[in-house]
Amino acid sequence: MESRSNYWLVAPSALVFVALFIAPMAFFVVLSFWQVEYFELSTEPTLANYRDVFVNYWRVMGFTVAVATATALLTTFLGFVFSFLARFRAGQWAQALLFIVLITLFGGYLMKIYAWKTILGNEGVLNSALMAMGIISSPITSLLYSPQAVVLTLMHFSLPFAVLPIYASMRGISDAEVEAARDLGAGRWPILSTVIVPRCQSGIVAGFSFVFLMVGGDYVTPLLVGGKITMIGNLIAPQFGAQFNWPLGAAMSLVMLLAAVAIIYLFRFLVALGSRP
Amino acid sequence: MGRKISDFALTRRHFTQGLAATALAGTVGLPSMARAESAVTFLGWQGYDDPVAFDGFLKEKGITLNTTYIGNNDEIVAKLRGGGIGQIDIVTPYMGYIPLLVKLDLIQPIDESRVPNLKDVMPIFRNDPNIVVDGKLYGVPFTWGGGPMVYDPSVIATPPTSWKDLLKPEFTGKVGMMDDPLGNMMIGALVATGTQTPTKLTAAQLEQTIDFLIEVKKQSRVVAASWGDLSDAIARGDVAITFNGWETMVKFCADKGKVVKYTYPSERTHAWLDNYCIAKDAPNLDAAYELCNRVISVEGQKRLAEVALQAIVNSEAVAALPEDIRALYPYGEIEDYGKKASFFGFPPVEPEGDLTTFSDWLKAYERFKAA
Repeated sequence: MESRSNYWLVAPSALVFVALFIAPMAFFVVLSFWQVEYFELSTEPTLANYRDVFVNYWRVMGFTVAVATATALLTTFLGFVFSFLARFRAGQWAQALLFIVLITLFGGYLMKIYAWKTILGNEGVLNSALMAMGIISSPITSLLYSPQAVVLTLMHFSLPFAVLPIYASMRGISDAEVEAARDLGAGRWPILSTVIVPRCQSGIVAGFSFVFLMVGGDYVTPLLVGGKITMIGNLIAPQFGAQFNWPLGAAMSLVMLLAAVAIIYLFRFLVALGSRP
Repeated sequence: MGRKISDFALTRRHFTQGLAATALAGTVGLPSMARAESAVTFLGWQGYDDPVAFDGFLKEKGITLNTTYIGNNDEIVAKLRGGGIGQIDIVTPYMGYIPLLVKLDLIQPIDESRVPNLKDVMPIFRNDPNIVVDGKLYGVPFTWGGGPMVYDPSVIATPPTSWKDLLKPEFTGKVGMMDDPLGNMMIGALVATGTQTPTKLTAAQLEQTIDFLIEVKKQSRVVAASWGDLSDAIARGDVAITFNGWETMVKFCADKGKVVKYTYPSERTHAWLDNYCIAKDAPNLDAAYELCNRVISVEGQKRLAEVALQAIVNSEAVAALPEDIRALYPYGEIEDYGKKASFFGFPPVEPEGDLTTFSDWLKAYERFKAA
């Protein structure tokens, strides 16, 4: 009884959620069925925008999903390793390691991008060092302005977002659980796969989701370190500016959103599958 | 200052906008203004107010400036149509927008007798056909620039004479492009279709243009997001030659310790000319004319050239520039500039016969982006 009468306490946050998330999203859905013809908005329902998305943009969308998936998998893996070391191996240094992760958040997004440009360019730190050591005779041009550069930069940016939820869920695993497994004769891998991973499933999925969504929607990194690379964000953003085709932009965003949800659910399913004893 | 200027240069040269803003914009909020006798409302690119505001001129004339900066040229149309008439005094459009602003009855003709400094403006700018509509002058041109081919002379001793040469194998991986839809497509159209009016393209010509741009993209390492980024790429040796460019890149690169040069290929390139225009029903007409006259004065123009590194129009001011600043732009052979770079204007914004509109262009440009 008591819990029911306290429902009103969530009203303010529910209101904010509805006003700032549900309502704009609903507007987006409606908008995606409208059309702009010579700068006039026509509210006659049409599927033309969706047809346009599947005919003209599927290739860029597929590429974006591939980049985002690769980045999210690599970052989640790194985040897991880092969290594991911080939780089980670092001892009293765990807080210091986490502090380092947090501090990278202060760097600023554009600063990181420009830092990688300085590192990866033809006359960048990496190429200069390799040439000075005599390992290469001319710069490796594919370091910068390539998909690898985009993935690397985005990993650097998003790593803290993978580490934090994974570490948080690892903190919930008590040493006793791990010791119990060891006492029962489990080796390193069985402990990892039957105790640790299953216990931080939610953290792993949350980390993956954060990274995937950030990367999938990013359009600044490909612009600055990707060279000729176009991701779907680079085509969606102008629909709300230069092109002034909000309905098409809404349809593109919604299709991308559905693709992202599907990938995240698939990942969650696979993690759950892999965590079964 | 240099960094800030390169930022504003980036946005100012993003003529990437359909006129669409007007359609959905509805009401556009203008800051509510406390009105003094001549509190002039200025709507333009950041930095474009500096030549009139940098010294004591405004104070002396009893003018205060309410500035609203724009992010693209469409905002001028959108804000004037969305309640700005009767409130806004000065706008600073690209010359290609002026015929449209006149057609929409958003700006008023310039009374030349009230802008005496016009006599010092070089004829190529003063007589640009885009800013004269039905024999009446509608803008005071004050700054300009073009899209030359910029190259690194330490890698390329003799620059190519044609944009098409960029497709040669020796340039593979050495080309840098700029993500400037209008500029790229105008150059592409000149080269790919041989037209002399690259703003008037049929659907087939537009396809040819994009096909050509995609060929150039295959040769490129980067499609840069800003002029600063393109300058960076050439200064760091990541690219050696550019498709589309800006004369001021010479200075940007020099600041990074790199000597670059520019050339105008035989097919020519695009050029742009920005103006002070007076809005229809401008509430502070006298003050607006003072500002129009001031922006093309020797002092105002020198300021623009020396601080913002923009190209200027006043021949007296050009003569008074320090040598290194004057050398940034081809002032010496300015009357021939039209043979190298032309003020082409703007593609149609509404359907016009079998010509493609600007929104068709932007749509087609996506194929280049996705390629």
